[in-house]
Amino acid sequence: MAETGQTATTRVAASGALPLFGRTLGIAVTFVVMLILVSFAVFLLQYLAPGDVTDALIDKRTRPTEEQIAAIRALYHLDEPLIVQYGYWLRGALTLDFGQSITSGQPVVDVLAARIGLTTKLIALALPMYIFFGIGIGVAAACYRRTTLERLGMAGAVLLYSTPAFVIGLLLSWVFGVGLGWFPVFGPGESPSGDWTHLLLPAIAAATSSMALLAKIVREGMIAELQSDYVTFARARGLPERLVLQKALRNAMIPVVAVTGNQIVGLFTGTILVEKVFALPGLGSLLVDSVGRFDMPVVQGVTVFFCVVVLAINALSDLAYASLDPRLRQTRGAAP
Amino acid sequence: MTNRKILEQLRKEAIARRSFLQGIGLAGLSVVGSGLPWPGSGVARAQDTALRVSVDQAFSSLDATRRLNALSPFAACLVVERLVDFDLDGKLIPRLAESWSQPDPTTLVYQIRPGVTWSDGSPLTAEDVVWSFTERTLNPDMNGQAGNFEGWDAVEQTGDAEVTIRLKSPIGYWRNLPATWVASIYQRAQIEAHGDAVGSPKHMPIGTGPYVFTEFVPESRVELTRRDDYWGETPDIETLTLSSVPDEGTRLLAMQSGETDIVLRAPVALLDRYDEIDGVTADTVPNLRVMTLHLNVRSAPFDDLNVRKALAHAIDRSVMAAALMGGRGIVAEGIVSKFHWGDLMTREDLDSAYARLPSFGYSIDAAKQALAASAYPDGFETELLVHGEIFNRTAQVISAAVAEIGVTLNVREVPRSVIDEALESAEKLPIQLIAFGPNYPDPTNNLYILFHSKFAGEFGFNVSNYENPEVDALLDSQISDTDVASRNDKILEAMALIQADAVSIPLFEQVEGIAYRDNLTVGSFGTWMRNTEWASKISRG
Repeated sequence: MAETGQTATTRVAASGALPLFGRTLGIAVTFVVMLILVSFAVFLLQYLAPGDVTDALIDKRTRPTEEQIAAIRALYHLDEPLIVQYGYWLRGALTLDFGQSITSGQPVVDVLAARIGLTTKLIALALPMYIFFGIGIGVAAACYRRTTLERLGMAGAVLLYSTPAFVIGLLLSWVFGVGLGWFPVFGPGESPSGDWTHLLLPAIAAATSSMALLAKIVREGMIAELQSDYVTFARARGLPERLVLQKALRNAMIPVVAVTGNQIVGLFTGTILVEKVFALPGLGSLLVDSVGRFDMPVVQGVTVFFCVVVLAINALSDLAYASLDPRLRQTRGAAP
Repeated sequence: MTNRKILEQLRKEAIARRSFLQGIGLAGLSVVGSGLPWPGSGVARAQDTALRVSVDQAFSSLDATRRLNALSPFAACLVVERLVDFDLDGKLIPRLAESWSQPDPTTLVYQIRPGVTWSDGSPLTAEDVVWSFTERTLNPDMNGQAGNFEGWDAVEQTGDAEVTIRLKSPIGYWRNLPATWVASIYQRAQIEAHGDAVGSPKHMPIGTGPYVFTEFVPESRVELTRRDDYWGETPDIETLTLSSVPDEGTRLLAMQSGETDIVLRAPVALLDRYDEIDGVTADTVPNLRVMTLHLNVRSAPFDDLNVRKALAHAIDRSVMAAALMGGRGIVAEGIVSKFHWGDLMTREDLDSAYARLPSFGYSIDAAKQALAASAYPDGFETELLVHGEIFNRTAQVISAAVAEIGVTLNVREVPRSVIDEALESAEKLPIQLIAFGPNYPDPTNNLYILFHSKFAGEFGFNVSNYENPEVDALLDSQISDTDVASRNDKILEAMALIQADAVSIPLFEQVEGIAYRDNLTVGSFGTWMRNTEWASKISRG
């Protein structure tokens, strides 16, 4: 019996690990394939975009000669076929060489490196706010269902979700910067990667609308879970309410994790507007500025970076989803 | 509805024409501007010797010659200097050259000022100047505007402290070129040691000017510190921080919260809001761009002189200037701004010369008569492509104005590249708004490329496809005319011919807003401030 039991345990463990490994491998392959597709799309977009590098580099009113224009086109391989241009670009990209910024002359990787710190700090500040308040408000709304508190909370969530981040940013600056004088209204502060006091308002602005959506999703999930049979049963068996909520929350988290991945991506894109409003030199404002100046090497670098982040977050949330949802861990072999 | 009423209504609806989201933002700001009292409101004043300036664009590099970047020169001109400079009125003044002379029409001799040192302590030599001109200013690989210097033959050292510029042939406007950004003198040792990296945070340019760069956070902030060993007058302000704050609402909030002392390039529509802040003055300076409407003479119906005259008569420029520039605009009196003339003519002479130029004043009756005499007495329909807010708003006003004489002008916002591609085509657009700015104080900055026939057709800037042999002859002849009065006459004569043909309708001169704290004395805010060591003339108290 004992031996049989041990065999059964081993079999379950092995069959539980293998699908997870297979799933991880699948996610990794998808990651690489998507990255290649995205890199080509990014390259193609700039190839198809109107205008080119020469517009940014030469003041055409000075009547540049055709040789001057040709020299610049040759320097950036613009005179070669598309696929060859992509080859040059991909070869560089694989070694993190995205070329030089047209406006500053610095390597794109250096330009990105100087900006990543600020955006990362901003996300690092916004993310806990997003999770803590999003889940907190959602759970509270579900627990205090059909009360004024719930209605107020949800009305606030809808209002915040529908308000653009830059408007929230301006309002926060007005109240806490101009009115109360607690926080600065612009700039990163002394440190180029952002002082915490300078990043707090932007982080709130970036987190707010995503947070409001999360609160709504958690509320729906919690209400559904709290109405399910296992909760009724647990309560009937006299399980303490705290434990009941814990169980319900864990199950309500499954759709939340899937959404959170997208929401974190949303936080990154939300920083684009927020960084502009608060005059923060992060990746978002870099992207906007570079598009405006036709600084394509930087646009490509930032876009690829954002794509890697998005794909990585999606991959991680897929994995987290698998580990949270027992149905995905179960295998045919282990099924009774 | 009369022209004036339409324009008045357009002015009132200015915010409504903006995007919805911007409207929300500005609505929020209007509440801010109403100045509700806040108990904790405290203004964080800077130290007496520090100055914080907010600008709307970003600095990507501090190398103003190498990188085309709207604001880099604005910071760089306080650190790197040129042989000569412009004062606020565009008059040429000595800088690194203490004097200059022109022994013959193609030779210019500059005496380098003694005792000038780079901020690292090493002396400035004539060799440095020659190297900087040869390797940077005249080198197309280093300078996108090298084409401006195509008439230069060589720059040579002709004495211990003497530099000579030789021209291929006489150039009437030669004296301005050494004063432009791209003729800034950079240190050879630094450029040779660090190459492309100069202008980056690690290698901020070394110069001979009154300030040194002490910190640079690309796209965010530039900090400059006063030099105590500067050869000229020591500025009052010890440290100067230029911050890039792209959002116009945030710049206003920064002024309200006391985080900035000066806001440059403030939108004129928001200047009243700045004025409402306690202890803040809002003003405007001309930004030297003249908004002009160009009519393509190779394209029907604008090949008809009467049609062009009708359009010119139909537009009330004074209302337009007021409506589009927040009540602070300047009516354009000619296709070239009077400010572009610098010190070539006195203001009185310019006023009387411009008064003699042909113009088509606002008169709906005259406009209707001209249209009736044209091949299109019942009016016509055409499209005006624009890019950018000010162009769009200008176009809307023109569209409303010409509707009164039966002309339907459809305005369409398009990407910049569409306009650029049309510019490069031989046909060009039938009708186009242009607002070019000058590089230096001279009326021919843009006149030559906009109206000489060799720039008509493909790849030319002559957007009206205007061809007039008389104008060509005058524009060609003025280039080599080194007699100022004679050259001025040629330029004015060319302007008269162009304006009589109504191929380009001057509308208004753009202005930009400046807001500053009342405790500052700002002696340096004026027309050509961007070309001057503007911050040197600011003091507190």
